[in-house]
Amino acid sequence: MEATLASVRESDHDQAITAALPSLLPRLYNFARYRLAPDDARDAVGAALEHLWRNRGRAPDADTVSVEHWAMRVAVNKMLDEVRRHRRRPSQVSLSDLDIGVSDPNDRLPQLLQLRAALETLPRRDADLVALRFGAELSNLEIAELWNMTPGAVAVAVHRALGRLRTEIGLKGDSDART
Amino acid sequence: MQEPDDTEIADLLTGLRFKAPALEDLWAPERTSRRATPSRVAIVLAVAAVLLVSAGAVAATTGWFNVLQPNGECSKGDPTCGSDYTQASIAVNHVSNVTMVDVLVKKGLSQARLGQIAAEVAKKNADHRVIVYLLDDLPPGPMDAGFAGTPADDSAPALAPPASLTPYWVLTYDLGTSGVRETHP
Repeated sequence: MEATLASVRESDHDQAITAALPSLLPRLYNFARYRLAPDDARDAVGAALEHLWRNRGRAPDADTVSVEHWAMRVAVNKMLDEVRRHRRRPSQVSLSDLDIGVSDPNDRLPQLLQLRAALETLPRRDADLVALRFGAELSNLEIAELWNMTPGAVAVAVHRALGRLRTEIGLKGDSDART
Repeated sequence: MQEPDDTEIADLLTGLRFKAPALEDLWAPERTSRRATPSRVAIVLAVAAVLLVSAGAVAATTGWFNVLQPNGECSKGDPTCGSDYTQASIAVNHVSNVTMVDVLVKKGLSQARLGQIAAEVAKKNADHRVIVYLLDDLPPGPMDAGFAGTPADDSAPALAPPASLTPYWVLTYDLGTSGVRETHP
C-alpha cells in the first residue's frame, strides 16, 4: 500500500497560531508564575502549548485576532487545570526571574517580592483571578467568557481579591489615606 | 465610607512581570528528562518546526532541536556512508507500543525541512505522541532506488527496522516533488 502525503505545507490554522505564539507565551508564562514556582510554570506552559497545538484544527476560521483570542482561551483553560494539579509550595522569586524594566523605580522591588509572596496567601479562586487579570492580562470580559460569569461579577470578584492582597501587603488603598 | 482604590495595587501587579523563557527552551533536553514523556517533545517539535519554517530559519536554532540534524558522519556498517542520504527516525508512541517511522533525508538537510517532515507526521498522528531522533546504528539493508531521492513505490526496498520496533512505516522524502511518500512493508 502506498499513500502520498500532501505536500508539507502549513495550514492557515498553523500560521495563525504560530503568529500568535510570541504574544501568547509571555502572557501564559506570567499567568503561570503568578501561581507556580519557575519549573512548574515552565511545565504548565509547555503542557498548555502542546494542548493548543493538538487542538489547533478547532480554531475558528476567522481573522488572526479571533484565532489568537481562541488560542489564549484554550491555553489558559489548560493552564488552570495544570495549576490545580500542583500542590502549593513556597514561591521562589529571584531578581533574575523578574522582568523589571529600567524605568521601574528600584524601590519597588521589595514590594514586588512581597506582592508575589502575598499571592500565595490568597484563596485559590482569588489567586486564579488575579493571575488571569494581571498575569495573563485578560480583560474582565475575557475572564467572564472563560468562567461563564458576567463582566460585572468578574469586576467585583477582582476588586475583592485585590482588597485581600492589599491587606496582605499592608497597602491602605484608600485615596484619602495616601494623600 | 469610601471604597478602597485599586489603582495602587493594580499598578504594582502590572509591574510584577516575569521573564518568559524562549519557546524552544521549554522543551530543552534537561527539562524533557524532568517529565520524560515523548509528547512533550513531539507536539512542540511541530510547533518549533512551523516556527522555524515561518521564520525562514535554517539550522538557526540551538538546544534540543539540534537533535534533528541529520548525522553527516560515516559510522562503521552504515549503509548510507558515502551516499548523500542519511536516515532519521520518528517514533510514534501509540498508547501502548512504539511505532518507528524512518525518514530518509538528504545529508545536510536543514533542520527546518526535517522539522516539516516531522510536523507532517505529527499531523497525521494527532492523537499520538511523536518524537524524532536519529538512529546511530542503521541496520544493514539496501539503499537503492526508491530511497535515494526517487519516488517511492510498493516495491521499494525497505530498510529493515529493529525487530523490537515493528510495525513501522517508511516515509521517503521525495526531493523531486518535495513531498513525503509513505510505504507500508
